[in-house]
Amino acid sequence: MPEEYAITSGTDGLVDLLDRVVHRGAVLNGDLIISLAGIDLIRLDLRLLLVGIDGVLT
Amino acid sequence: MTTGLCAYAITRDHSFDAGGTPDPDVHLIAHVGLGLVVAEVDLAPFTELGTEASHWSDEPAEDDPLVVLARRHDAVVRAVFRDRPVLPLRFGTIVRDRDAAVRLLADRHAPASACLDRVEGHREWSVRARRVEATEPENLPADGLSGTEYLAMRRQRLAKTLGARRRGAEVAEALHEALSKHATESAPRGRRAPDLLIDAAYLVPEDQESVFHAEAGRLGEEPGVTMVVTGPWPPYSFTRLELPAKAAADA
Repeated sequence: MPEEYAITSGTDGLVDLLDRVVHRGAVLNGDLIISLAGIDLIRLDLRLLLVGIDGVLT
Repeated sequence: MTTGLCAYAITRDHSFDAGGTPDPDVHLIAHVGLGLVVAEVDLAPFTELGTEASHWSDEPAEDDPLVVLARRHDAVVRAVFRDRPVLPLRFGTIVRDRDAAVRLLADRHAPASACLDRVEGHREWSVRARRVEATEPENLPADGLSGTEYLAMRRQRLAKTLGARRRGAEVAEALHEALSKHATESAPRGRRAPDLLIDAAYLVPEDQESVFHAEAGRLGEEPGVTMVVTGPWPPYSFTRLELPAKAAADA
């Protein structure tokens, strides 16, 4: 496996981590799930941040 | 302390070893061949996360509470991903109790199994390609130009910008096509920046990884293009799970 590509640190890696862990991944809804209001707010804000960061990384 | 059952991922039922995870409490709740990876967690760190927009005005850092929790989530998913196919769940998925976890697996048994089959033997790679502009003096002084000359200059610049954009779109398409040959699926990330040629995740079969990277490396050498590849990631971007019809009707 090409280990030299295993980059998950640095700003690019951190942006990719938050984008994936917080925004991607399967969403389970319904009455079985306990909703944490704060997490939903973070998703909205983070989305804006991650869009904005592209300018920073350039 | 308010606790909840944090669900990290769906995988196939197997004898799960929590040794590789950051939390010895991580375990598997099994149901007919599927397993939900869970741990009893303190909910306080989740509810205490800063939700103000101003909190995110700077770049995220490793010691940020959200990053710490996200790393932990990723570490658990990866521990399972090392030798099993996984369907990562979105960060902050808290289920009521063990019975709820079992019902959740039962409700989604067919789509979850199909999704695990689809991602098995694959890893996700992130590719971001940007255009690098050749720098040239752009701020020609408008002083001393006649009205006609000034308009001609403006037109010329506009044509140049449009030309660059069109070339950018062509380059992006060619890059994407070249990488897609070695991937089973791809998912655009939906971020937009004028210089961003590609910002996408690719689901790559493990036996195609070296060709995929050779191709990405070759394309990154092209003049005017910079390429950043991160990974390998568990298939976060390829886990579409439809809400079962019954639950949707109940809602």
